Amino acid sequence: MTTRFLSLRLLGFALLLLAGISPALALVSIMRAGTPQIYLQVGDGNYSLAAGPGVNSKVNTVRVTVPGRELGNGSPQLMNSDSMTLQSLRDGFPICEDSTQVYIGAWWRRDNTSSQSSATLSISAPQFLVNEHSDRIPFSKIRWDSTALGDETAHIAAGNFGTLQTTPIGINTWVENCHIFYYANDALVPAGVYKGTVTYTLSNP
Amino acid sequence: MTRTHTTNTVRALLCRAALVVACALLNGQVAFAATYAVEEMPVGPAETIVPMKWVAGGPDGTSLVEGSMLAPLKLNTTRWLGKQGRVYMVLPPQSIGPVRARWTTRGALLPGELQAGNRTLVYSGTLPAYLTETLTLKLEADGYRLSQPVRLEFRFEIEVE
Repeated sequence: MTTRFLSLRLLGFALLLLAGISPALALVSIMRAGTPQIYLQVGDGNYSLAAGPGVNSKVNTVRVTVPGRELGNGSPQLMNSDSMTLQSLRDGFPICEDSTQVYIGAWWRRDNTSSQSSATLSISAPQFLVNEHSDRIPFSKIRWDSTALGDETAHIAAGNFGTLQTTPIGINTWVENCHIFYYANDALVPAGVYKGTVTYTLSNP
Repeated sequence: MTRTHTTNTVRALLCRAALVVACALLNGQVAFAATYAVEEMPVGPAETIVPMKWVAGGPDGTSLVEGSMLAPLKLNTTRWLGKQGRVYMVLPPQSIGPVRARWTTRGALLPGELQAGNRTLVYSGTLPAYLTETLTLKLEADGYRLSQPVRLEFRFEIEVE
Protein backbone atom coordinates (compact mmCIF):
# COMPACT_ATOMS: atom_id res chain seq x y z
CA MET A 1 0.00 0.00 0.00
CA THR A 2 2.81 2.30 0.84
CA THR A 3 4.57 1.54 -2.40
CA ARG A 4 1.51 2.32 -4.50
CA PHE A 5 1.08 5.67 -2.79
CA LEU A 6 4.64 6.69 -3.62
CA SER A 7 4.29 5.59 -7.22
CA LEU A 8 1.27 7.77 -7.76
CA ARG A 9 3.10 10.77 -6.43
CA LEU A 10 6.00 10.20 -8.73
CA LEU A 11 3.66 9.91 -11.70
CA GLY A 12 2.23 13.28 -10.83
CA PHE A 13 5.70 14.80 -10.86
CA ALA A 14 6.47 13.27 -14.26
CA LEU A 15 3.36 14.88 -15.71
CA LEU A 16 4.55 18.23 -14.46
CA LEU A 17 7.68 18.04 -16.52
CA LEU A 18 5.66 17.69 -19.69
CA ALA A 19 3.53 20.75 -19.02
CA GLY A 20 4.06 23.89 -21.08
CA ILE A 21 5.33 27.27 -19.87
CA SER A 22 3.14 30.29 -19.37
CA PRO A 23 2.83 32.94 -22.07
CA ALA A 24 2.84 36.45 -20.53
CA LEU A 25 5.74 37.16 -18.16
CA ALA A 26 7.58 34.57 -20.21
CA LEU A 27 7.56 37.13 -23.00
CA VAL A 28 9.38 39.87 -21.15
CA SER A 29 12.57 40.97 -22.85
CA ILE A 30 15.10 43.49 -21.68
CA MET A 31 17.26 45.66 -23.86
CA ARG A 32 19.86 48.25 -22.97
CA ALA A 33 18.63 51.76 -23.70
CA GLY A 34 21.57 53.71 -22.33
CA THR A 35 24.37 54.97 -24.52
CA PRO A 36 27.99 54.75 -23.35
CA GLN A 37 28.71 57.12 -20.50
CA ILE A 38 31.89 58.87 -19.44
CA TYR A 39 32.43 61.18 -16.46
CA LEU A 40 35.27 63.28 -15.12
CA GLN A 41 35.30 65.69 -12.22
CA VAL A 42 38.29 67.77 -11.15
CA GLY A 43 37.66 69.79 -8.02
CA ASP A 44 34.04 70.81 -7.64
CA GLY A 45 31.22 69.52 -9.79
CA ASN A 46 27.56 68.66 -9.92
CA TYR A 47 27.62 64.98 -9.18
CA SER A 48 24.83 63.50 -7.09
CA LEU A 49 24.87 60.04 -5.54
CA ALA A 50 21.16 59.76 -6.26
CA ALA A 51 20.90 61.42 -9.66
CA GLY A 52 24.35 60.76 -11.05
CA PRO A 53 26.50 63.01 -13.20
CA GLY A 54 25.82 66.67 -13.79
CA VAL A 55 27.56 69.37 -15.80
CA ASN A 56 29.59 72.08 -14.06
CA SER A 57 31.82 74.55 -15.85
CA LYS A 58 33.54 75.83 -12.72
CA VAL A 59 37.35 76.04 -12.89
CA ASN A 60 38.90 75.74 -9.45
CA THR A 61 42.01 77.70 -8.54
CA VAL A 62 45.14 76.36 -6.85
CA ARG A 63 47.48 79.06 -5.53
CA VAL A 64 50.42 79.81 -3.29
CA THR A 65 52.01 83.05 -2.17
CA VAL A 66 55.75 82.69 -1.62
CA PRO A 67 57.06 84.84 1.26
CA GLY A 68 59.81 87.17 0.14
CA ARG A 69 62.37 85.72 2.53
CA GLU A 70 61.78 82.21 1.12
CA LEU A 71 61.73 83.14 -2.51
CA GLY A 72 63.82 80.80 -4.61
CA ASN A 73 65.35 78.96 -1.66
CA GLY A 74 64.45 75.55 -3.05
CA SER A 75 61.91 74.78 -0.37
CA PRO A 76 58.78 73.45 -2.14
CA GLN A 77 55.68 75.49 -1.42
CA LEU A 78 52.45 73.65 -0.66
CA MET A 79 49.59 75.13 -2.66
CA ASN A 80 45.98 75.65 -1.57
CA SER A 81 42.84 75.26 -3.61
CA ASP A 82 39.32 76.66 -3.49
CA SER A 83 37.85 73.23 -4.10
CA MET A 84 35.18 72.24 -1.62
CA THR A 85 34.90 68.59 -2.64
CA LEU A 86 36.34 66.39 0.07
CA GLN A 87 34.06 63.35 -0.13
CA SER A 88 34.01 60.49 -2.58
CA LEU A 89 31.33 60.95 -5.21
CA ARG A 90 31.02 57.21 -5.29
CA ASP A 91 29.97 56.53 -1.70
CA GLY A 92 30.29 59.76 0.28
CA PHE A 93 33.38 58.57 2.16
CA PRO A 94 35.70 61.49 3.06
CA ILE A 95 38.81 60.98 0.95
CA CYS A 96 40.40 64.43 0.67
CA GLU A 97 41.71 65.96 3.88
CA ASP A 98 41.45 69.69 3.31
CA SER A 99 41.78 72.51 0.83
CA THR A 100 45.34 71.53 -0.07
CA GLN A 101 43.85 68.53 -1.85
CA VAL A 102 41.91 68.61 -5.09
CA TYR A 103 39.44 65.82 -5.77
CA ILE A 104 39.68 63.98 -9.10
CA GLY A 105 37.16 61.30 -10.04
CA ALA A 106 36.60 59.52 -13.33
CA TRP A 107 34.73 56.55 -14.75
CA TRP A 108 33.17 55.28 -17.93
CA ARG A 109 30.86 52.44 -18.92
CA ARG A 110 29.50 50.86 -22.02
CA ASP A 111 28.46 47.45 -23.32
CA ASN A 112 30.72 44.79 -24.77
CA THR A 113 30.15 45.60 -28.43
CA SER A 114 33.54 47.31 -28.55
CA SER A 115 36.97 45.87 -27.81
CA GLN A 116 37.90 49.16 -26.16
CA SER A 117 38.78 48.24 -22.60
CA SER A 118 39.99 51.54 -21.23
CA ALA A 119 39.54 55.28 -21.50
CA THR A 120 42.42 57.71 -21.18
CA LEU A 121 42.74 60.49 -18.66
CA SER A 122 45.26 63.07 -19.81
CA ILE A 123 46.61 66.01 -17.86
CA SER A 124 48.13 68.78 -19.94
CA ALA A 125 49.35 72.31 -19.35
CA PRO A 126 50.85 75.16 -21.33
CA GLN A 127 54.60 75.54 -21.12
CA PHE A 128 54.59 78.54 -18.77
CA LEU A 129 52.69 80.39 -16.12
CA VAL A 130 52.69 84.05 -17.04
CA ASN A 131 52.34 87.17 -14.88
CA GLU A 132 50.93 90.60 -15.70
CA HIS A 133 54.34 91.72 -17.01
CA SER A 134 54.72 88.67 -19.23
CA ASP A 135 57.36 87.15 -16.97
CA ARG A 136 57.23 83.40 -17.06
CA ILE A 137 57.64 80.37 -14.81
CA PRO A 138 57.83 76.93 -16.41
CA PHE A 139 54.72 74.91 -15.56
CA SER A 140 57.05 72.02 -14.86
CA LYS A 141 57.89 73.77 -11.58
CA ILE A 142 54.55 72.56 -10.26
CA ARG A 143 54.17 68.93 -9.31
CA TRP A 144 51.54 66.95 -7.51
CA ASP A 145 51.27 63.99 -5.19
CA SER A 146 48.35 61.62 -5.43
CA THR A 147 46.59 59.99 -2.51
CA ALA A 148 43.23 59.44 -0.83
CA LEU A 149 42.06 58.62 2.66
CA GLY A 150 41.15 54.95 2.86
CA ASP A 151 43.00 54.13 -0.34
CA GLU A 152 46.38 55.75 -0.75
CA THR A 153 46.98 54.11 -4.11
CA ALA A 154 47.85 56.70 -6.74
CA HIS A 155 45.38 55.54 -9.37
CA ILE A 156 46.07 58.82 -11.13
CA ALA A 157 49.81 58.93 -10.67
CA ALA A 158 51.90 61.72 -9.17
CA GLY A 159 53.67 63.88 -11.70
CA ASN A 160 54.37 67.39 -12.86
CA PHE A 161 53.01 69.63 -15.57
CA GLY A 162 56.13 69.54 -17.66
CA THR A 163 54.98 66.61 -19.72
CA LEU A 164 51.64 65.31 -20.86
CA GLN A 165 50.54 62.61 -18.43
CA THR A 166 48.06 59.92 -19.35
CA THR A 167 46.32 57.35 -17.18
CA PRO A 168 44.25 54.43 -18.47
CA ILE A 169 40.85 54.08 -16.78
CA GLY A 170 39.42 50.56 -16.95
CA ILE A 171 35.87 49.99 -18.12
CA ASN A 172 33.15 50.08 -15.45
CA THR A 173 35.64 51.41 -12.94
CA TRP A 174 35.55 54.37 -10.63
CA VAL A 175 38.93 56.05 -10.17
CA GLU A 176 39.33 58.63 -7.44
CA ASN A 177 42.31 60.44 -5.97
CA CYS A 178 43.18 63.67 -4.26
CA HIS A 179 46.04 65.67 -5.75
CA ILE A 180 48.31 67.85 -3.62
CA PHE A 181 50.22 70.52 -5.52
CA TYR A 182 53.66 71.96 -4.82
CA TYR A 183 55.56 74.83 -6.39
CA ALA A 184 59.28 73.98 -6.65
CA ASN A 185 60.43 77.48 -5.65
CA ASP A 186 63.93 76.81 -6.84
CA ALA A 187 64.55 80.03 -8.76
CA LEU A 188 64.28 83.77 -8.19
CA VAL A 189 61.52 85.20 -10.32
CA PRO A 190 60.18 88.75 -10.74
CA ALA A 191 57.31 89.69 -8.47
CA GLY A 192 53.84 89.22 -9.83
CA VAL A 193 50.82 86.95 -10.03
CA TYR A 194 51.63 84.07 -12.36
CA LYS A 195 48.67 82.31 -13.90
CA GLY A 196 48.03 79.34 -16.09
CA THR A 197 45.29 76.84 -16.73
CA VAL A 198 45.74 73.08 -16.87
CA THR A 199 43.36 70.77 -18.63
CA TYR A 200 42.16 67.32 -17.57
CA THR A 201 40.58 65.27 -20.34
CA LEU A 202 38.94 61.86 -20.20
CA SER A 203 38.43 60.31 -23.61
CA ASN A 204 37.32 57.02 -25.04
CA PRO A 205 37.69 56.96 -28.82
CA MET B 1 29.79 -14.83 13.00
CA THR B 2 30.24 -11.20 13.76
CA ARG B 3 29.39 -10.25 10.16
CA THR B 4 26.14 -12.28 10.32
CA HIS B 5 25.23 -10.61 13.52
CA THR B 6 25.88 -7.17 12.01
CA THR B 7 23.87 -7.97 8.90
CA ASN B 8 20.95 -9.10 10.97
CA THR B 9 21.16 -5.94 13.05
CA VAL B 10 21.13 -3.71 10.00
CA ARG B 11 18.25 -5.64 8.50
CA ALA B 12 16.31 -5.25 11.71
CA LEU B 13 16.92 -1.52 11.73
CA LEU B 14 15.83 -1.17 8.11
CA CYS B 15 12.65 -3.09 8.80
CA ARG B 16 11.93 -0.89 11.77
CA ALA B 17 12.55 2.25 9.71
CA ALA B 18 10.29 1.04 6.93
CA LEU B 19 7.59 0.30 9.46
CA VAL B 20 7.87 3.81 10.89
CA VAL B 21 7.60 5.38 7.43
CA ALA B 22 4.65 3.21 6.51
CA CYS B 23 2.83 4.09 9.71
CA ALA B 24 3.59 7.79 9.19
CA LEU B 25 2.20 7.65 5.69
CA LEU B 26 -0.94 5.91 6.83
CA ASN B 27 -1.41 8.52 9.54
CA GLY B 28 -0.81 11.38 7.12
CA GLN B 29 2.28 12.57 8.97
CA VAL B 30 4.55 12.71 5.94
CA ALA B 31 3.42 14.90 3.07
CA PHE B 32 4.87 14.69 -0.42
CA ALA B 33 4.50 17.96 -2.31
CA ALA B 34 4.23 17.59 -6.06
CA THR B 35 5.31 20.45 -8.30
CA TYR B 36 3.43 21.57 -11.39
CA ALA B 37 3.78 24.33 -13.92
CA VAL B 38 1.12 27.00 -13.61
CA GLU B 39 -0.56 28.30 -16.72
CA GLU B 40 -0.32 32.07 -17.03
CA MET B 41 -3.37 33.44 -18.78
CA PRO B 42 -2.60 36.22 -21.28
CA VAL B 43 -4.03 39.44 -19.82
CA GLY B 44 -1.34 41.93 -20.83
CA PRO B 45 0.56 42.73 -24.00
CA ALA B 46 1.73 39.78 -26.00
CA GLU B 47 5.32 40.79 -25.49
CA THR B 48 6.93 43.47 -23.37
CA ILE B 49 10.34 44.95 -24.04
CA VAL B 50 11.76 46.75 -21.04
CA PRO B 51 14.32 49.46 -21.81
CA MET B 52 17.19 49.19 -19.35
CA LYS B 53 19.06 52.34 -18.37
CA TRP B 54 22.28 52.83 -16.48
CA VAL B 55 21.74 53.13 -12.75
CA ALA B 56 22.55 56.57 -11.41
CA GLY B 57 25.70 56.90 -9.41
CA GLY B 58 28.35 55.48 -11.70
CA PRO B 59 29.52 51.97 -12.43
CA ASP B 60 30.96 51.00 -9.03
CA GLY B 61 32.74 47.95 -10.42
CA THR B 62 29.84 46.80 -12.53
CA SER B 63 27.80 48.30 -15.31
CA LEU B 64 24.38 47.88 -13.81
CA VAL B 65 21.31 48.76 -15.85
CA GLU B 66 17.76 48.85 -14.55
CA GLY B 67 14.25 49.04 -15.89
CA SER B 68 10.70 48.64 -14.67
CA MET B 69 7.33 47.56 -15.94
CA LEU B 70 3.80 46.81 -14.82
CA ALA B 71 3.07 43.13 -15.28
CA PRO B 72 -0.62 42.14 -15.13
CA LEU B 73 -0.93 38.48 -14.19
CA LYS B 74 -3.65 35.89 -14.14
CA LEU B 75 -2.52 32.48 -12.98
CA ASN B 76 -4.82 29.59 -13.71
CA THR B 77 -5.01 27.48 -10.56
CA THR B 78 -8.44 26.02 -11.30
CA ARG B 79 -7.01 22.55 -11.31
CA TRP B 80 -6.06 22.89 -7.63
CA LEU B 81 -9.09 24.86 -6.48
CA GLY B 82 -9.54 24.59 -2.71
CA LYS B 83 -6.27 22.77 -2.11
CA GLN B 84 -3.36 24.00 -0.08
CA GLY B 85 -0.47 25.06 -2.22
CA ARG B 86 2.53 27.28 -2.69
CA VAL B 87 3.12 29.22 -5.90
CA TYR B 88 6.60 30.27 -6.92
CA MET B 89 7.89 32.67 -9.53
CA VAL B 90 10.86 31.23 -11.38
CA LEU B 91 13.56 32.97 -13.39
CA PRO B 92 15.89 30.59 -15.24
CA PRO B 93 19.63 31.26 -15.42
CA GLN B 94 20.42 33.92 -18.01
CA SER B 95 23.11 33.99 -20.67
CA ILE B 96 23.96 37.57 -19.68
CA GLY B 97 24.85 36.61 -16.12
CA PRO B 98 23.17 37.93 -12.99
CA VAL B 99 19.68 39.32 -13.45
CA ARG B 100 17.62 40.43 -10.48
CA ALA B 101 13.90 41.06 -10.34
CA ARG B 102 12.15 42.86 -7.50
CA TRP B 103 8.43 43.46 -7.37
CA THR B 104 5.64 44.88 -5.33
CA THR B 105 2.05 43.71 -5.55
CA ARG B 106 -1.48 44.83 -4.80
CA GLY B 107 -2.00 42.10 -2.23
CA ALA B 108 -3.04 38.96 -4.04
CA LEU B 109 0.54 37.78 -4.38
CA LEU B 110 3.53 38.34 -2.14
CA PRO B 111 6.10 41.02 -2.97
CA GLY B 112 9.60 39.72 -3.33
CA GLU B 113 12.90 39.48 -5.06
CA LEU B 114 14.36 36.90 -7.38
CA GLN B 115 17.79 36.22 -8.81
CA ALA B 116 18.12 34.43 -12.14
CA GLY B 117 18.48 30.71 -11.50
CA ASN B 118 16.19 30.76 -8.46
CA ARG B 119 12.56 30.88 -7.49
CA THR B 120 10.63 32.91 -4.93
CA LEU B 121 7.38 32.19 -3.12
CA VAL B 122 4.56 34.45 -4.28
CA TYR B 123 1.53 32.68 -2.81
CA SER B 124 0.84 30.22 -0.01
CA GLY B 125 -2.53 29.02 1.13
CA THR B 126 -5.83 27.76 -0.14
CA LEU B 127 -5.93 28.05 -3.88
CA PRO B 128 -8.64 29.99 -5.71
CA ALA B 129 -9.49 29.28 -9.33
CA TYR B 130 -7.31 32.16 -10.48
CA LEU B 131 -4.66 34.30 -8.90
CA THR B 132 -4.97 37.77 -10.38
CA GLU B 133 -2.37 40.41 -9.70
CA THR B 134 -0.44 43.32 -11.17
CA LEU B 135 3.25 43.30 -10.36
CA THR B 136 5.32 46.45 -10.37
CA LEU B 137 8.44 44.80 -11.56
CA LYS B 138 11.95 46.24 -11.38
CA LEU B 139 14.72 44.49 -13.26
CA GLU B 140 18.50 44.78 -12.96
CA ALA B 141 21.13 43.33 -15.24
CA ASP B 142 24.72 43.83 -16.34
CA GLY B 143 24.65 46.48 -19.06
CA TYR B 144 28.08 45.45 -20.26
CA ARG B 145 26.73 42.07 -21.34
CA LEU B 146 23.36 43.34 -22.49
CA SER B 147 24.33 44.24 -26.01
CA GLN B 148 21.32 42.48 -27.53
CA PRO B 149 17.73 42.14 -26.30
CA VAL B 150 17.31 39.14 -24.01
CA ARG B 151 14.09 37.29 -23.27
CA LEU B 152 13.91 36.44 -19.58
CA GLU B 153 11.18 33.75 -19.69
CA PHE B 154 9.75 34.01 -16.21
CA ARG B 155 7.47 31.17 -15.28
CA PHE B 156 5.37 30.01 -12.34
CA GLU B 157 5.19 26.68 -10.60
CA ILE B 158 3.06 25.32 -7.81
CA GLU B 159 3.56 22.81 -5.07
CA VAL B 160 0.41 21.10 -3.88
CA GLU B 161 0.24 18.81 -0.88
